[in-house]
Amino acid sequence: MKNTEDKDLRTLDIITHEVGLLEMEYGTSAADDRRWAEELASSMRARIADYRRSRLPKHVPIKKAAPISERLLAMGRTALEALFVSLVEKLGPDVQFAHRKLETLSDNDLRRLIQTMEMRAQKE
Amino acid sequence: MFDGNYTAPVTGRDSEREIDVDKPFAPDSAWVDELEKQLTPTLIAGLHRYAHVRAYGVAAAGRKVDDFYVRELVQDAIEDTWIGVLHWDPDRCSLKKHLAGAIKSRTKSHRNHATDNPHEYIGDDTAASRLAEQDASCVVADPEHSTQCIYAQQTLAQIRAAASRDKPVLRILDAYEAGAHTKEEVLAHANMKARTYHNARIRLKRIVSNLADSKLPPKARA
Repeated sequence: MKNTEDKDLRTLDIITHEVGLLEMEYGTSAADDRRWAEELASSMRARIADYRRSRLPKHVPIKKAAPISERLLAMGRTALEALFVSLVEKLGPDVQFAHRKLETLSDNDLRRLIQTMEMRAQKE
Repeated sequence: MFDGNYTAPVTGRDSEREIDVDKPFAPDSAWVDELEKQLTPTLIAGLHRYAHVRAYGVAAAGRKVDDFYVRELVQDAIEDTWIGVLHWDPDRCSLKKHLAGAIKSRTKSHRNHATDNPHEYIGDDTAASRLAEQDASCVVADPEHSTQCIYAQQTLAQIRAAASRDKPVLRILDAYEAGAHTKEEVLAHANMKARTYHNARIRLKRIVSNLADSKLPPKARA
């Protein structure tokens, strides 16, 4: 008798697993259940975002820019622009600048940009 | 009886026992990225449908279940993965497989618990129902009288009755009863073609899902 009972329970376990997998793959959900699923996914996304924020460092040290070199300070706008063009050619098409309008850069900002590019070119 | 565990007391979690408080779970960003990518509303809705059918098996062991129980199964599997109680390795299996496996294992455990403790879960977890359980357990908790097995027997009989005119489905059920589980085992036991098996499984799904729908009234606990 016990074996028959165990067999029934085991058979039911197999049926509910197999049918459950089919339901998961091909079944459809009621609107209420879909809403619940969306809310649960949304709340998990919020918790994940919280977790990511909690892992950010509390204090990020601000790195001061190196002073502009005497050589660049001595150069005028025309020379700086020519140097800039040559550096762009040297670094290739992958180089990117965080300035939207290069023509409005002040002389000192252009010098700082060139200095950064030269340091990058030296590393390569 | 109520132990104050407010996070889904009936779905098998025991956070105090399972979480290592000295070493909180701190997944790396690759793990978190994978979880976020895979944990979509579509996946959750699919898991809910899987849990719904599995809960039918738990109900067939004599335990009262409803749609809240089904949702708790899914929520707890996700929650326990998030806090590290359930270990998930994204390199070894998908989140879908991992969570479905957790639900499968927990429903099986609940079914076994209902089998071993037929006097429990007569009603909801309220003061009145707990008193009623205490009283009732003196009367009906006879381990020799395995009511839950009669439930299982009845449930199988219901499935067979619903499929009585569908020979391929009955042959699949025979194969399951004989212990066959995988597709290859069922095909060999039932001497069936893959196409017939595929179509019969779809019809079996419809039968069992309809029975599960009628057995698990939505939000019955409210």
